[in-house]
Amino acid sequence: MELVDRYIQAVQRYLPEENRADIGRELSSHLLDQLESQQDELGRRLTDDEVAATLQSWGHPRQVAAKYVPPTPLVSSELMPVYKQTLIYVFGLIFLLQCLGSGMALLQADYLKILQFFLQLLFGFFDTAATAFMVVTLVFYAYSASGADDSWLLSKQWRAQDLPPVSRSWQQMSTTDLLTDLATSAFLLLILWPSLWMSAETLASTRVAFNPLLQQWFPGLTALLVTALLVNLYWAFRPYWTKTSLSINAGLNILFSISFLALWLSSSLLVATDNPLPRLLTIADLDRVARNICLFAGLFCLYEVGRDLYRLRQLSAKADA
Amino acid sequence: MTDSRLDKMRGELRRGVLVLAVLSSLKQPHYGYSLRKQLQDAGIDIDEGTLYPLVRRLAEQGLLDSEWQQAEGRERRYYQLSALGSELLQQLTDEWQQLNGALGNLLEKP
Repeated sequence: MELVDRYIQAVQRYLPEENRADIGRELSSHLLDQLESQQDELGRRLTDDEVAATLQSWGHPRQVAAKYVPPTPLVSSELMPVYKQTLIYVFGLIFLLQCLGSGMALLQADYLKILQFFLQLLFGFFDTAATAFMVVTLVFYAYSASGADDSWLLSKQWRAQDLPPVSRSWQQMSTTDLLTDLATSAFLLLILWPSLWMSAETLASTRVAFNPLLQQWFPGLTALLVTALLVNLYWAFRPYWTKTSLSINAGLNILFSISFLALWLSSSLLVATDNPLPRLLTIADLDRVARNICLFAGLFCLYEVGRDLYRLRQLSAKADA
Repeated sequence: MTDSRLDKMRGELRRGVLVLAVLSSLKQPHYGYSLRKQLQDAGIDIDEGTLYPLVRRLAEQGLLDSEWQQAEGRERRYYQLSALGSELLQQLTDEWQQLNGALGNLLEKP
């Protein structure tokens, strides 16, 4: 019965230390009973091939061990939707931060290296995303394994009465839109306040800066961006367009479009620092690009205001009907 | 319906009632292989890889008592329904009979 012993030892290899001896003892008893029964039926001793065939029918030692002690998933199936959503938000934010970092590196280079920009963006994103993936997974694993109260995370306290009446398909906010709005607000805040995340050395080496005349706008813009960030965070948990959320969104978009169009109309957005710009690039070019982006953003916000007002009218018409 | 799909659904259907079959068989003490033979003789064919871990889990939940005994020159672990297991078996039996009756009516409908 050497084969049986080898099989049991192989199963035990995949078992936790505290269960090894007991499960091995039990498994040995079951296997010997089965082989003995086969011998009785045949009326002779089993050959090694016949014993091997029986062991084969039990399955690979790893499978047998997994049936006795099923492996714990890293993230429980209950937490999986929250886990996936968290990863999407984290990856989106990392991508935007990477765009910002790679953009700064592009401006700080002596030459305009577009290919280097894209490679830095790509590899930088995957490098940071891999770390973030590991950290988020470990946090969820620790949370699942600790058996902590997850009712707040899984919205177990929900009430049917709190669900908003959704009569049109567009009333369900898309995750992509929410993510884009959240990430854009965070991205703009980082651009406005580079001193909060850049080292003094990097700050000193930047080649462009905002026009000092625009600094007086920053507190107002910051307040607007923080409000948008908080509102979008709240909507991430209640992702429905209602009359209230549409009105708030329209209000925010009006303020954003005014801000962006005012920036577009300003004399200059960016100024050069003492550090020279990369060759083939002038401050006038960069300023024109930045102002065009402001124009596009302002017009897009105006389009969203129109869209929200049209949707508000649709909801009001339905309520009146 | 493909064979694999049928096998999968049959497996799901049987999995639920397996606990009932095992608890019911263990009103009398049995060791693993004798329990499997008894179930087989009753028309419930269950592979070793499913039955033995299931019996172990039920014992860990306190539904079965177990004891190692020497028999026929070898040691065997005998399992038998505990007081808690008997109580649960009664509740599950009632549930099964109710379900079986309701399902029978549904299946008989043209």
